[in-house]
Amino acid sequence: MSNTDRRISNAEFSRSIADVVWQVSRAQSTRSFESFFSAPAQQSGSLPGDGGAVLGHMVVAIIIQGEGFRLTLKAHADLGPLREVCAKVCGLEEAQLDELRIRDCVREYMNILAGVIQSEFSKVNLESRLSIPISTRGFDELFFGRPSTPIQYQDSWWLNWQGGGKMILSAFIEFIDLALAEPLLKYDPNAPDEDLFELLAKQGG
Amino acid sequence: MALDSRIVIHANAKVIEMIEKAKFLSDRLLDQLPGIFAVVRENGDILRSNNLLAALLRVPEDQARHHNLAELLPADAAMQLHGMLQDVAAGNKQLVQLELPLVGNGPIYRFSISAYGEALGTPLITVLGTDVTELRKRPASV
Repeated sequence: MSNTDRRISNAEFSRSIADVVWQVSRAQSTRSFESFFSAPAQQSGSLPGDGGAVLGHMVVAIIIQGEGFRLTLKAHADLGPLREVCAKVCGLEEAQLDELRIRDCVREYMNILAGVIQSEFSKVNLESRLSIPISTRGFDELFFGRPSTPIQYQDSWWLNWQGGGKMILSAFIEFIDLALAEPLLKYDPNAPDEDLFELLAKQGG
Repeated sequence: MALDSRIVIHANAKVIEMIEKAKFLSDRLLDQLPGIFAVVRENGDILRSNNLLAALLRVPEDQARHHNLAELLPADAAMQLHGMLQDVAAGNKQLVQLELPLVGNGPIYRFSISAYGEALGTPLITVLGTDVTELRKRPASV
């Protein structure tokens, strides 16, 4: 196989793994939103790769780090559309919510989402670790440096919920060692969820 | 998980928490400045604003980034501002100061325009605005 062929097949291979990661991220983003905020939600469309323009007033990011890959999940949102759902979660009136509480809510949502994705990955014996969620201004997106790993893909989508609320979610995957991330190709979205006690036993909890 | 890696994770979380809080407080400081603070593109599109600018644009604080700074000004003043933004973006001038009235015979603001940095291959510009209406009303002798 020539170098060019190898590069092309590597690109196709990594793209097919990235597709699985996005499939998991998109599906779980809706489910986790519905269970955390108790509001029906759905996805719509994808956003063009805009290279990091300001997509929302605030951004909350969390990293899922595996041996062969790194997945950065981000939620970009304005405060207004989140007030209603966050007030419900906090058990407060909308007027009582300040920016800090809204950020905390989205941070918690991203924490849950990353945890669920990590658990989905573990179904194909792919171990990973989570960072803590970081919240900052959407404006700072302009200065987030692009990582220098050779194989990286980004997917973004809208998450819409009842009452006209919406936010943008993005999943940025970088492959450090494709071979180590390969088990993801065996991922079956219809596989039954593992028993919680078995999962805890496996993790030594 | 080994005890030492738990300590490292806890320490990292603490450091991130401190950085995050410091960033939040500095953002709040800029938000609550008594004057206008904005970072804009060369064409005046707002990328970051503060509370006063959002109030002058009559939009919620998280919506100002969908607007252009020129919306604050009458047409001729907007043209002047646009020219100044382009001058600073091109590097012809480091700092420009000019006084412009806001739209609808509104207050007069002294705008200070300077380069902020570069992102996505385009220059970004800082705009600070101070209300000088009262100052301009005083008789020259005072």
